[in-house]
This record gives sequence, structure tokens and C-alpha cells, in this order.
Amino acid sequence: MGIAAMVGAPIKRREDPRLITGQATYVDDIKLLGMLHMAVLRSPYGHARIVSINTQAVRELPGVTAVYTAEDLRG
Amino acid sequence: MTMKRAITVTVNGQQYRSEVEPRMLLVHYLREVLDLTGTHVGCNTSQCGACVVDLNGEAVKSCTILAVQADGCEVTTIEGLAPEGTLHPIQEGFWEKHGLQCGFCTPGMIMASYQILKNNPNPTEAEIRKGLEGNICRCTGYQNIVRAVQHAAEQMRTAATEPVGAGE
Repeated sequence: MGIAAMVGAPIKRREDPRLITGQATYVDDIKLLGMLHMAVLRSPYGHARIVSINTQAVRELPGVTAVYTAEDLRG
Repeated sequence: MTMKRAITVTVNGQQYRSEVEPRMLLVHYLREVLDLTGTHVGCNTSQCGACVVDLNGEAVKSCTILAVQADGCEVTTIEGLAPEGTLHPIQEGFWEKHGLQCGFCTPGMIMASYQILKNNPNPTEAEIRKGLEGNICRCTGYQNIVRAVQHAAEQMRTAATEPVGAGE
């Protein structure tokens, strides 16, 4: 279809076939080998000072692969 | 952990035997156990309809059905609406009439529309909008979705009245 003929004409989108058949991959559809679930623990208090974070007990729970706090991110 | 239960579910014509926890939602069973990720989780509150599938001939929100409730049942998901490589008229309608943008709500919209047209091959615009009340779209403003369903309805009515062997 020439460019001039396209102006103002309805054009079918190229991405639709995957979207209308359920074949598209949204973020939650991504599956990789060895994927883990991540849960974020947020402060239950609106205004507080963190005195300490004790991760020992949770590290020992079955199925827990890793626990990260800000300490682990210090560069 | 609660003991798993054995279920047998026919999905898109194929029978699956699985062991699932009683708390597992049908939507998670489809997405995570059967790898059918076309059915989406949009809201976690049963409002949005992105999870709609056909269960024994009825459109249901698969986030409100437990996998164990689907034991012995037939489920059709978006992936099973048309044979591979072909498009159902409803899918064709959404493509033709620009009834989607991001596409996230679309499988649910299509499966809900499938139910609407099964019950009512010639719906009015009001009937289409009423039938899609359980489906939320953030992108399109619904107008083209309605057009898509109307287009599909017309295609399906025409195909139904054509004598076998007519046309190409």
C-alpha cells in the first residue's frame, strides 16, 4: 500500500495477532529457569527508626533462598 | 502445607491430571501449572475481568474459581478459542476494529464477548456494554471494543446463514 493511500485509512496493527491469541508476554508471563518469588517487607510504622533487623530466623525457613536488607546493598 | 488434591481438568480440549493445593485459584493453575499465560491477573479483587475463561460453557472469572472446583470440567481459554494458526471471528473483530491497545484486558474481553454472542447473536450496543460490565479496560475507552463485538457478531451471523460450500 503506497504511503499516500495509507493516510486516513484504517491499518491493522502488526502487534495484535499475539495479543488477541494470548501469546503475548507481559512481565508476569515471563518464565525463566530457576525463577524465584520475591516478597518485600515494608515498615509497619509510618514514622519510626530502625533499631535492628533480625533475619536469622527467616533465613532458616525451608524454601527461602536469600534475604536482603540495606546492609547487603552497601557499595 | 495442606495436602494436595488430585484434579482432572480438560483445558482447550486436552485433559490434564494434576495435584494442587485446595487454595490454588484456577487462574494460577492455568498460568503457572499449565503455562497458559494468555489469561491474565489484573486486579486480585475479581473486578477487572482480565481472567475470564469459559468453564463448562459459561464465562467465569478464573480468579474467583478454585482449581479444585474445575475438577471434571471443561475449560476454554483464549489460547483455545480457535485452532492454532486461525482466528475466531471475535479475535478478528478486535484486530479489525482496533479493539485493543496494550492488549492486557483483551483475552478477558474476548472470552466475555464469546459468552455474550453465544447467548445473543444479535446484541444491541447496550446489551454488549451490559455483557462486558465485568471487564475493565484502561486504554481504549470501550468504544472500539463494542465495535469489535458488533463486527464479530455480524461476521458470525453471516457465516451461520451461508449455505455450506458457498463463497470461496
